Parts: sequence; structure tokens; C-alpha cells
Amino acid sequence: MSKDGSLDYFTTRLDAFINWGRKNSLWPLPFGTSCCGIELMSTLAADYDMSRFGAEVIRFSPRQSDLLVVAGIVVSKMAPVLRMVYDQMSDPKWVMSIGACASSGGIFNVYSVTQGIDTILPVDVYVPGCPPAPEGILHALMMLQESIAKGETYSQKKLHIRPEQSGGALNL
Amino acid sequence: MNIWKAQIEEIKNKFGDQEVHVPLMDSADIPIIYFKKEIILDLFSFLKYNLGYSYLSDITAVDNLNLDPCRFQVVYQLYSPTGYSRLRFKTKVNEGEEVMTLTSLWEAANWAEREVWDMFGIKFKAHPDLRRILMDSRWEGHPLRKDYPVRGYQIFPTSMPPDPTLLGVSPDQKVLEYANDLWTDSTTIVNIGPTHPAMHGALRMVARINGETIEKSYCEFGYTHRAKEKLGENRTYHQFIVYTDRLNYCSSLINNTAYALAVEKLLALDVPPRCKWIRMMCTEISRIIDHLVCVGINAVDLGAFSYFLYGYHQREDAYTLIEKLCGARLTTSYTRIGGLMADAPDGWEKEVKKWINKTRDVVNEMDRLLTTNKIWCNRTKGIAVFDKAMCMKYSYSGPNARAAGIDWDLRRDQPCLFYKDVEFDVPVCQEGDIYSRYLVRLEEIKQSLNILSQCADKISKGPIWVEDKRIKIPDKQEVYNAMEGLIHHFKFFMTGFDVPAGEAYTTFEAANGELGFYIVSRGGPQAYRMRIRSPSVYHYQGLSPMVEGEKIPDLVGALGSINIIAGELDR
Repeated sequence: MSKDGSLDYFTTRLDAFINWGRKNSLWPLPFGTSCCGIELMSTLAADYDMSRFGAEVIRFSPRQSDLLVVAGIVVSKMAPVLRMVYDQMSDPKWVMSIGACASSGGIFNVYSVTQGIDTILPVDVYVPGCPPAPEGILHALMMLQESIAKGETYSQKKLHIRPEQSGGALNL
Repeated sequence: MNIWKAQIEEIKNKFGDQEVHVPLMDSADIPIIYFKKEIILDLFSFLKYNLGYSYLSDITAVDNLNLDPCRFQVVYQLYSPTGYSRLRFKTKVNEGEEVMTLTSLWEAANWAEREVWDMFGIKFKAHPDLRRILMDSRWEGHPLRKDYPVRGYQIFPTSMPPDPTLLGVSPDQKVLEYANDLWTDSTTIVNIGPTHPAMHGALRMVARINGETIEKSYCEFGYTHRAKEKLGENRTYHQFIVYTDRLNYCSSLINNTAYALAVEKLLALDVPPRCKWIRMMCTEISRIIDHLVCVGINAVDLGAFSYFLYGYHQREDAYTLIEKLCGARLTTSYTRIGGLMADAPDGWEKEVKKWINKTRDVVNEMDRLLTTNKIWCNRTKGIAVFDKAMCMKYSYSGPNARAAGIDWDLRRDQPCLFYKDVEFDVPVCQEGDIYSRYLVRLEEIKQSLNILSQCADKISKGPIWVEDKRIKIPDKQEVYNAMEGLIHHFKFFMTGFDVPAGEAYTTFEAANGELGFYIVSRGGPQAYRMRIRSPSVYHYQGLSPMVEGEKIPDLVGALGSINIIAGELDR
């Protein structure tokens, strides 16, 4: 209603409206394995407060969350676990890769370390740093929100690998 | 030195020169005793029961490929908590030969020997459970052997399934079938982790439970194994500093300091007083942060969320102080071999003092908030008890051992830096339950604050680097303006400095307990063997016996209270 009592409205496309809702209510699943997990905790705690961006509902169950936050190293023993968690999440889903280890293996180019989680699942936003400061993580979240609003993420464009295509196993 | 002489004489008299051989000092710290592997059990029970070496610090191995006809050396580090002395024992093993296990003397040897098997392929005779520990069970080869490539990746399509045979259940037996009554006798197997909110990072436990009670369990780790020991053999001493940050990432400054001390011991260097004071202040700030995180997360796990936020705010302020030193929050890489990255800025001590005063108030407030809280007391008192005898068996150290009545702190017993010039108490509890671990940590925060304020008073201006051209990183002024400086800089960072041949085991009282670096140098700028003795491995090994007979929710509290840090656990 506007001030003079007449009916007010605006038009939009339905998908834009849905994406607007999605981007402001992300439910992250923290997959924190090492140092970056500690910085993710700082981002969630009172000083930086990720809830300002509508992403404070931390869910540890992949069934209930739509943003997989991989914070820290993923080694070859852990890689199948990560893929399983990703496959269990329902669409649309997004992946944030925090830190050098998750994004590329970082300083650990050794026998046990996966050289970037993008070898096992599609990543929408990378955060550089070892570990990135909380500001970096918040910036990445805002970037992700932007691309969700535009519908440009892997999941929205249906480009991510489906479990039935990969047979539920690693697609390397 | 005299204690050692007498003890070595005693060992020689008991076992004879044929079996025991003590070369002239070829290590930088303590005598090495070589023994024939046939006498291992007699020797170590003699050491444990007669000479007071009742604490097994570490078991590891060294691969002497193409250097020695006998390929491997198994290395045992022992500590005498009464005489405050250490001894190192070595035995030579060839490929395919077996060494008798020490699990009959120390339970702690179990995982240490499993790791030696996993990493080097040395088998232990009569070992109860010789499986791989850090690597996947399907892994081929032994990564720390010198002929294993640094980048020898192996990838597996599926995760390791839980193994019910380890819990006394045969694999084809359906566990739920023999449940007579759903409420009193419903045995089942649950897998907790590696991605479980209560399993702090990447730990995994598989438990056979009866109702809610854990009957038997086994722990697994290696889900963040970053091969720092292998990297230590392939990086220069200077380059390895960044890897030490990522050990216990809640207190990286302690790791930095301990590592710098270890290499300086090999180089026989003594850093200037100001450098020592700054290092000491750094370690104490880190210890406070680490303990705040530990008690905070432990409280969150048991439901006290706001408590965590109090500690976390103080921690953010401490990070601001650390940022002023080195620009980084978590992974500091602040120390250098023989010095520091940069001097503390003017007036830094005053800011630290301000922070101390504020933190003292906050810690007192936290104390009032939780210590007498009824729910907290009910959830923690008498739960997950690990008494003194068990702590010694499982090689517990640090606050977890002190909570069980072991009065022992390496800062006091083996003083390094300036710890003998400051006054502090070592808090000790007797019960060994979750509550006493919490109390010890809280009191240690207060003691660390005391140490910090004494340091802030005593610190004075002065140089922070040793005056040694080989070790010191040239000043930027010199690098940019003189050819010699530029060459020096280039040589330093491209090839590194040589460390004389020898070996040393340096221990430091880290926030979690005894953090040790066992470095073997064969000369040259890279270590031949870089062993990291992390307290978390030994603490985590004790978790299974600790929670036996407890309820599943108490497992969560127990795990939080022993403060397992995945980076340090898996290395």
C-alpha cells in the first residue's frame, strides 16, 4: 500500500524473486578440517558475525544445508567423504572453497594431499589466503550471493556433476 | 652429564658391551645408546623400573638408505619425570626384520609403532593391532622411506568402511539381531566422524554401543595428513618454518618458537635477550588463545554457547596484538632461525599490558559464569576419568596430565628461554575428569597472564638477531643497495644455510603438552629426518579407554576436554 491508500506493486520475474530469496538465506555446512576452520569460526563468532548476510543457520547435516563451505585441507583419505557429503546435499547447492589448501593444495604438494577440491566437485567461489582473514570469507560470501542472484552458479546452470552420472563415486 | 654417566655405566654393567654400545657424543643434546634388538624388552623394563625412565616420549625411525648396510634405525626417546633427564635409544633393523613391541610396557607404544609400520614398513613382533594409521588401509608403499616419491599420490574411490572385527563383532554377524530388549541390550555399531560437528575437524571414532553406553571403540585419524615430516626432509630449515605454523594452528607461535629452538640447538646458537623475551611473550599469548579456544569449544559442545563468545572476543584482541608483530593472525611464521621476522613495534609491551588487564577481568567473569554452574558440573564432574597411572601408560603430557595429578611442566622442569627468571605456579588437579581438565586450563590462563605481565616489565631494547652472517637474513637496506647484500640474500633463500651433522630432540611445553622436534642432520641445508612429536597423538590414543563405559554425549565432552587439534595430530 502506498501513502494515499492505492494498491502498490512491482513486477519481477519469478526466478529472480526466488534467487533473491535463496541468496539471502544460505544455510552453510562447515566442512572445516584444519586451520581455515578456525578462521571460519571467527567469522561466525560475534566480532565478524556472518549472520548479517543471512548465512548464520549452521547445519551439520548435508540434507538441511545448501552451501558447502570447505575450510581446510582435503587429503586423499578424506576426498571420498567430501564427495559423499556433496552428493547428499539437495539442489540447488553451492560450494565455497576457503584457503589455499582447499583451492589448490597450497604449500602441500605431497603424496597425501588432493591438489584442490575442484578435482572432485564444482566450486563456485574460491577464497585465497592461508588462511584468509574473516573479511575475505565475508567478501566471498557476498560474491557468491551476487552470482546466485544472477543465476550463474554451477548448480543453477545444471552444470554440476550429478551422482547418477558419476555412479556415486569420485569423478576425477 | 654425571647422572647420565652413572646410568650408562649401570646399563653397560647389566647388559655388557656386546649388547649396548654408546658412541662418543654425536648428538647435540643427549647421549645415544645403541642396543641389539634382541634385548629390547629386558633393557626397557630395566630402564622403566630401575632407572626411573617411566615415560615413553616417542618412538620413531630413520631410513638410512644407501648410507648404512642396515637400512633402518628405530629410535626411542625416554624421559625420567623424577630425574628430569632424557635418554635416546636406537636399534638397527634391516628390511624384513622385526622388532619386539613395547606395548607390554607402555600402551602409548601401540600407535607410535603403528605409525613406524605405516611410514617405514618396519614390523613389530607381537603387536596387538599392526594396521596402517595415517594412510588409507589400501595404500601401497611406505611414504617416509627415502625411495618413496614426495608426490606419489594414490587415490581411492570410496572411504574406509568401519571394521566391526576390531570391536569384537564378526563381519557377517548382524549386530542388531542379537538385541533381546530394545532398552537394555540393544548393541549396535555407530560410526562418528570424520565429518561430525562434535569430532573437531577430522577425527573418527567407531563404537559398539549398548543403548547409549559405549562398550568398546576404536579411533581413526589421518584425515588431514599433510606429510609435514616428508616435507621437512625436502625443504630448507628456513622454509620449514611455515609448515610448523600449521601444526597446532590455535597456537602457531609456540610451534614456531619450539622449532627455532630445535634448529638453534643443532647450530649451538644463543639468541639475544630481547629475542628470547619476545618469543616468551608470544608463546604465552598463544597458550592463552589455545586454552580459551579449548574451554570455549568444550563448553559449546556441552551447550554453553555464550561462554564461547566471551573467550572469542578476547582472542580477537590477542590476534590484533599478533598482527602488529607479524601481520598474520593465525599462521604467523614469526620466528626465524637465530632471530625473529621483525622487532616488536614501539609500545607493544604497553598494549600487551592493557590486554592482560582486560583479559584478566574477562577470565574472572568466565570463571564466575561456568565453574559453579550446576549443569556444567553435572556434565563434567567424574566423567571420562583418566587417572595418573593411565596418563603415564598413555604418555599424557601438558594440562591433561596435570589434571590427573602429574605435577610436571617442562617450562619449570627443563627451563629454556627465560622461564627460570619469572614466577609462576603449575596448577595440578587430582581427579583427572573433564572438570579438572577445565580447571587446570582456566588456571593456566591466569598463570600465563602473570608470566606475560612479568615479561612486559622485564623486556628491554636490544638486538633481536644473532650476529652470525651464515644464519642472519641480510637487512633489506643492504639487499637493495649493495651487490654483496643481494648475493647474500639470494644465496640465503635459494640454497639455505648449512647445519652441521648431528641430531637433537628438543621438547617444549606447548599448549597441549610436550611438543618435540627430533631433527637428524647429515650436514647441508635440509634435514635428513624431521620428526614431530605431537602431544595430540598420545592424547587421542587415550580417548578410547577414557570413554569406555561412558555415554555417547560424554564422549563429546571428553573429546573437547583433551583438546585434539587435527593439524598437530595428523601432521
